[in-house]
Amino acid sequence: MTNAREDILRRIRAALDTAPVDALPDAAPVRPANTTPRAGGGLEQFVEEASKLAAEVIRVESEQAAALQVAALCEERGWREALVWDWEEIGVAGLEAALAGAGVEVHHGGDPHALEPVPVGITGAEAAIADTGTIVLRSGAGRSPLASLLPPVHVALVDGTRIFPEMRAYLESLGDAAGHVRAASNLVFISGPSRTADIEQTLTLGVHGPRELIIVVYGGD
Amino acid sequence: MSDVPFKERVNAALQNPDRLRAISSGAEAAFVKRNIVLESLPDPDATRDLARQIRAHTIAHLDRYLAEFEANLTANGGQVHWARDADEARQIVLDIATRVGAKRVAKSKSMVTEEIRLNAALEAQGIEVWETDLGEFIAQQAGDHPSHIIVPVMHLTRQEIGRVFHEKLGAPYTDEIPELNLIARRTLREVYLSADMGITGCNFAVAETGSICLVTNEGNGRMVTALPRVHVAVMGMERIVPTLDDLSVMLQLLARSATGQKLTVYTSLVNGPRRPDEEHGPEEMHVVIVDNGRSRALASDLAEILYCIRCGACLNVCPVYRAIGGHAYGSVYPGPVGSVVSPILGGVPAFADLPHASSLCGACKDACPVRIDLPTLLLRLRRETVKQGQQPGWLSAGMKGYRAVATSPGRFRLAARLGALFTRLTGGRWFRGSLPGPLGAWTRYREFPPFARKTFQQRWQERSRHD
Amino acid sequence: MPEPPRNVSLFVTCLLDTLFPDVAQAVVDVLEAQGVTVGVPAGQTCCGQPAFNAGYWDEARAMARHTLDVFGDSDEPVIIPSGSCGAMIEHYYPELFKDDPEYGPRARALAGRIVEFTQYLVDVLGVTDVGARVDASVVYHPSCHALRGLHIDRQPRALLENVRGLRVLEQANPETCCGFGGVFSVKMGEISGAMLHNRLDAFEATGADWVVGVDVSCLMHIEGGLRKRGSAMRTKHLALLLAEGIR
Repeated sequence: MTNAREDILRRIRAALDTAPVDALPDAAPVRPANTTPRAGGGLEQFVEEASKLAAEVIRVESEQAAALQVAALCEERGWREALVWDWEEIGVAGLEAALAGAGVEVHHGGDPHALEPVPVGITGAEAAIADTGTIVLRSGAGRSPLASLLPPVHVALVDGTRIFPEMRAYLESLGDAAGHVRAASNLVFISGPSRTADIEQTLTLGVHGPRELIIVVYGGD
Repeated sequence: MSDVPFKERVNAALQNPDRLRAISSGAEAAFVKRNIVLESLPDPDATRDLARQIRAHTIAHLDRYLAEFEANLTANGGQVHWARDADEARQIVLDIATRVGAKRVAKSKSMVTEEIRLNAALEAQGIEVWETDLGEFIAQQAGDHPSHIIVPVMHLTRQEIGRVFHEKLGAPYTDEIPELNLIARRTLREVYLSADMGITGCNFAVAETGSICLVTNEGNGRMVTALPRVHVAVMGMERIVPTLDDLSVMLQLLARSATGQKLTVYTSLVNGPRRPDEEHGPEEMHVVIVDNGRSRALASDLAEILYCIRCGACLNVCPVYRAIGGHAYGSVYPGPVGSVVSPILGGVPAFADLPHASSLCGACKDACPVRIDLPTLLLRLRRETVKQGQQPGWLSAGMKGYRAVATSPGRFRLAARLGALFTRLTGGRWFRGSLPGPLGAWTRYREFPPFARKTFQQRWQERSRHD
Repeated sequence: MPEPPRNVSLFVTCLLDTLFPDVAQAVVDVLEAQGVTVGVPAGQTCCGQPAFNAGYWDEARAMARHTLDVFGDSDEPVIIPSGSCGAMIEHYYPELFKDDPEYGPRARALAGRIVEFTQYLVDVLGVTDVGARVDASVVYHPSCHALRGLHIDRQPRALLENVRGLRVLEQANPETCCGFGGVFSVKMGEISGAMLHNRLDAFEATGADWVVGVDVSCLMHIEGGLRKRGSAMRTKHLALLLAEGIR
């Protein structure tokens, strides 16, 4: 019984050994640096780009202000329940107290079926990327992927000093990017609320993922 | 995908000008957006050059990167399977489904799973398969096939979709787009929450981390990889890049070329099943690496097609695609890339017409983010169709005759004189009648120009004699 | 700046030779008016593109060998008044003969000598104004092989701009293929016809007198279509327009 893996690898090696010279044009690797960001690359650009994608961006001065802002949102919108990352994972001091003060029942996990009716998910983010208006979330213990996916609204708390001009810069900042990424089961770059244009090329938000993305940015310039 | 001859499919498509207009304007709109958003890159040309080099380098060392990917994903707790062909690939997925007792599968959009005809195989085992990408979901409900690799139901109107939802899902009829999306959302919510297995494709595997990168706008890719207890990703073996840095370059181009966005809403890196200390996420994660003819391409002078990142830009810009739509190609992969990939993966005899269904205008090559020389690949495939006897007898005979005429100045002059005679006998002007046989395809749409009484070379020689 | 070569050979092309000899003569006239001496190597037939494009590479090679023999081994530029034939020789003659020890180097040599007509005038001679006067309106059709294969667009447009009295109009989506594509026009007649139809609508919407281009293959397909639908619009190769304008 031949081994599919060995067969395929053998076929590939044989093909590469005997392929015509012009079969693979440009096969020699060259790495020019070409990604100098255009505009700013900082918080201003992030806010602009995220807003273009129909994310709502709220800037506050501090962690404490961020906590209060989230609580205020819950009150304004009548959210009595929330699916929330573990407090240490969000890393915003005072958030637990603020939400308790707003009378929000907090879930940190649970059966997805039971979590269906929860109106809002609240997470942190480990970074933001300016040129595409993107926030970066890694899954892990206490950082359920469902919080940014299941409820119709996702509120993300972002440290304003963790803005990178572009994805490449973010990856570079990690040092051992591969190790950092592999340490999680899942890493996601989120750019705006869920959308589709599959029907007559007409844009609609919130098909499967959240219909609304509210980004609360604290600190930063 | 179909036994109906290409010509018949084309004629059928041309009977539906409204649908073609919808496809054409959708394709054009997508291309306009692509042009605008590419300009937001600091140096679009340099980025495309770099992306091409990354793909070229990867394919030139494909065995090494696949092995590296496998080692890293396995270390993360994922399981890697290898499939030499479609049968093997289907069997692997079926075996997993059987072992875990899957009754319901939620699928995110994946071209390679359509290529290997996975859905039918699962359904034959009594497993319910739900497409979750909105366009694929609509096509599935309608019993229709996708007509575009990025926008599957570009060819359907909202009224048609409303009727499908009404008939197949029991929803009250509506053609309001927000309402239609809501119906899909509600239906698929239940599917996500109850599916035993999620199946995805793979936009890019990353060798250095053992990750699968999935790119979606709707969030269905995340849903099917977060909720069901088993995740199976099916991957064409060429869909891989060496490092995260390489991935970031490809991601600068994929969404821009496909939909005119800088990035799709969700770009996920799936690194394996959930970790022991995580509550949510799949218990098992599998990747099925599929050859199914790709190594054949690698061994030929068509290998460059393996650089393709499946963005669909070549479809959007192709005047033939815009004239006939995606279904006419009769393949999972339509458009310029489909015309190369289909005969390679499905065999030249089954798809012999596709490489010829192009005027070789080159717009596809201009649009391709990794600058694949599609016209040259099409020409090389046309050579193959001739070698494999797939061209009509009249054309082969005609070409032999043309060769005889064009390798002898004497015979060439004679042929020109015969042409001039034909013109004289038919009125001496542009010919308005019907030319016989296959040449009638010219005169159906055009008049035929008159042959000159004397060729240029004759006049030149006569003038030189007089000087 | 070195003096540009002023002895050239003309590659007639099979279509110009048998169907549009006036265009070939116009190329000669325009070049001679610029002080260029034009030779026409005898015994020319066809570059082999129709066979090559249809996948009949052996037949194409036979025709290409004949063509290589006709043009010999000089250094003289070979002026070719066709974007598609030019692209064939430049891009695909080397491919056809890449493993051929005798014709391989000759194919590469000819590929290096080939210059399209407007390229020669504008880029080699440095001429954008041939002193032509034509009172008419035209729309320029950028043939795909010229445009994308040889990067020819600026040159014909520059020449047109300098024709006194000429109004150059623009059609919608100018860079869309007209649907000729060689054997494609017959083999895939319905698709070719559909593509042609779209282009004809775009041309007619401009109200121009002529569609002007650098490739008679496109132009004869376009004019064939215009005549079929009863339009008064006609086509004209750029060389013929210039030659008529300087007489």
